[in-house]
Amino acid sequence: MISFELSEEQEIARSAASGLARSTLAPAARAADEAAQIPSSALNGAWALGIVQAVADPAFRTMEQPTVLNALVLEELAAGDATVAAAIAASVGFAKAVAEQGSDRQRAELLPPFVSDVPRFAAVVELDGPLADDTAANASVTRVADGFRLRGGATMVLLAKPSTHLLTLVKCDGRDEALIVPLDTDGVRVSKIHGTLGLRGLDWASVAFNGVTVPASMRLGETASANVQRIRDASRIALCAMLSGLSRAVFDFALPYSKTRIVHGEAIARKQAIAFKLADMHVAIDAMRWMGLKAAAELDRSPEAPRSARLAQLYASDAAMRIADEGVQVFGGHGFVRDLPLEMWYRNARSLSVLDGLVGA
Amino acid sequence: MISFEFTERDRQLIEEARRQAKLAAKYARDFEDAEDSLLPHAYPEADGCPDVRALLEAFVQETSGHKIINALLYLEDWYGGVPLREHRYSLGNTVLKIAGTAEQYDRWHDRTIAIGLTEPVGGSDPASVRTTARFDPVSRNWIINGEKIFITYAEGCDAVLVLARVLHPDQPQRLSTFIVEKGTPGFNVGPQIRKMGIRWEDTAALSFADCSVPAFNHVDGDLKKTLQSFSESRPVVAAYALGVSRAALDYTWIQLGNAGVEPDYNARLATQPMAAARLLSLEAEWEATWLTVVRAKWIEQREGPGKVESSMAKAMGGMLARRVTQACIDVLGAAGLSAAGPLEKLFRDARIFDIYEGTGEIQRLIIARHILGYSPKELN
Ligand SMILES: Cc1cc2nc3c(=O)[nH]c(=O)nc-3n(C[C@H](O)[C@H](O)[C@H](O)COP(=O)(O)OP(=O)(O)OC[C@H]3O[C@@H](n4cnc5c(N)ncnc54)[C@H](O)[C@@H]3O)c2cc1C
Repeated sequence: MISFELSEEQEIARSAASGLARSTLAPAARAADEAAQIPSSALNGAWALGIVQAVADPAFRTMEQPTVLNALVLEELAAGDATVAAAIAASVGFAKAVAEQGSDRQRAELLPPFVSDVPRFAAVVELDGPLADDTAANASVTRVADGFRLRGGATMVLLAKPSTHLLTLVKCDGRDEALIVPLDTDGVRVSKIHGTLGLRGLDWASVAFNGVTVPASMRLGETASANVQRIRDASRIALCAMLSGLSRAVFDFALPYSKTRIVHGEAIARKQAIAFKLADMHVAIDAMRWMGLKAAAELDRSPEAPRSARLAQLYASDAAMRIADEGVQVFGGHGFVRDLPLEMWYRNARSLSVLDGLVGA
Repeated sequence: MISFEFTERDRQLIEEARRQAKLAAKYARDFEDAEDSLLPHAYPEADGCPDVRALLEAFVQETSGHKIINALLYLEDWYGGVPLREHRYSLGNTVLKIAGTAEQYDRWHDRTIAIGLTEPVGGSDPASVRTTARFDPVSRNWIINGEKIFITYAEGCDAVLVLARVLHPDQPQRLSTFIVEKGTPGFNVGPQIRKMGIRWEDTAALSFADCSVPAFNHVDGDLKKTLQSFSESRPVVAAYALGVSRAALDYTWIQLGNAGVEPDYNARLATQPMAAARLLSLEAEWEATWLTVVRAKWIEQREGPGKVESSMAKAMGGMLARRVTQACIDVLGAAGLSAAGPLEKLFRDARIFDIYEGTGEIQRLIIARHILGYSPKELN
């Protein structure tokens, strides 16, 4: 039965996240971008909302529509600061994959640290390229006596340094596998990336896996290949949610400005060229948000949701970029300068939309 | 709790409608060179096929709701091109339901009532209407004079609901609506209009020369209420657009499949063939539009038609159909131009959805006024 009505619990979670975004995240976002570091007050506040802990808790299995709830919260966080939202989403991605697909032993071992009062990080990465010093050889994954051997690199990894583990998505003998790699494993090298276009607070790094051995006990699910599609779907849902939040921030900021900015004797909002941009933003924001929630609801009741999740991410990526772009335009020169958040949103929109596979909801 | 799952009954109705649409598809081109013919009430294949609208009425409790499913059934009709059974959807009837008295409703509800708003001087702005309805104190009848153009169901309808300027000795000038029945002296229907697409749709001009109609025919709802009927129909027009776009996308995917190009929902856009990447973006837009249509109808089921939500659906649908049909031909190349395939027709048909029942610009005006809190005076 088709329904667009949030449950009471979902509404409560959404509204708590929204309050935090307004009171704490949004005001700190610019300074965080300049310093390329998320302030701990913002991070602690977002962590305290508890979505990572809920996923890591044994009671997670009985939760109703957890992906929908996570998407709602991530959307609100991103409306305050997409950087903070992405940091939380990275841990959600890791913890949820382990909670849903890990063996009993993996869950018992890896999840309890996430049920904590202080933020814990872990990220999902994709082994997608050659090593920097050996660009001729493509990434390779081979089966060895008791597990897998990885060689290759992941170019853009968020929060690699503070993470305890990387959930590494690889292809082995034509099959998708998800391998849990503790950061202190021999052969794992993290190289900080100095300077990124957007989401600058995420302590970006590239990670090299230089002949890293992953024992079979660290293969997600242990005895069989993990459902990597499900992990990717969750990542796309998270991205759609965050892009929706970011777009809403742009819209909410541009709308009142357009009514007070007087040009040629009247508010720019009274010109169709501006008013229609705002109307189009409004339409697209609504559409992308429901696409993400539809995919989330689907993932909550089926093993995977490849089409809905992918289309949600595609639509949201295009629409959010357009919205951030037009947001800058509505502000003219003021959109380009760093006093106002428009240029930061413009950079963040481009950055978020290409993070396929690195986060989760 | 949010859910986008169809009920068993929803699925059954929609699948049956799709099956029927495919049966009707072979007639879709019959009107290309026969624009003066009208759609039959039913094609022979309808015999032995259940009437999905009747099933919807009978089992509505088991569905996601009448409004949502009805819109999605129209989507299926347009997927086939022409409906296997005609289900006229005319705004004239909606206005009668919203603004008419009980007696008026009883008299006409099972007739087809076309809507006559547009005139040669303009369609987007009702205030430009020049057709007049003069009150004749002697007969106590209304005398209608004027001309309407581009009227759907002009020939096939039983009556038309005309928007006219009221001239009454004791009343201020205002706009109001009148039902003029077929056969009223002075009421003439022009020849079928030659259109780029949707040639099976009955479209013609109407003229009224001293047409005298009884006072009973005055549907005297306020104009706002009359225009509210658009809030019901606009998401349905967007559903038409979804149907045409779906047909274009399905056909294009099949052709691409024959050429070895398949959609890959996993691969990055960078590693997909350009054709597939482009179509995936359009699939995303299709899905986005589907949601805005279903959402507008869901809201309507709960709290009555939402003006802004329905404009949002219409704006999305109008643009979707344009973009999808343009891109599909571009992707398949010159082969798409041939009348042996469906694309050239879908391309021509699709262009109407951003025009009638309020152009895309008019929808954006409505949305923009709402979000900005502006009156029509402040933003026009
Ligand atoms: C096949 C078909 C069937 C139709 N069926 C019916 C019917 O059954 N009943 C009926 O009454 N009408 C019907 N119409 C008419 C249709 O609703 C009008 O054509 C439409 O509303 C546009 O009006 P117009 O053609 O006069 O264009 P105009 O109003 O002249 O508009 C021209 C252009 O100006 C733009 N524009 C207008 N006002 C503004 C503004 N304020 N701001 C920005 N841009 C603006 C429009 O968007 C458009 O792009 C039908 C039309 C067609 C083609």
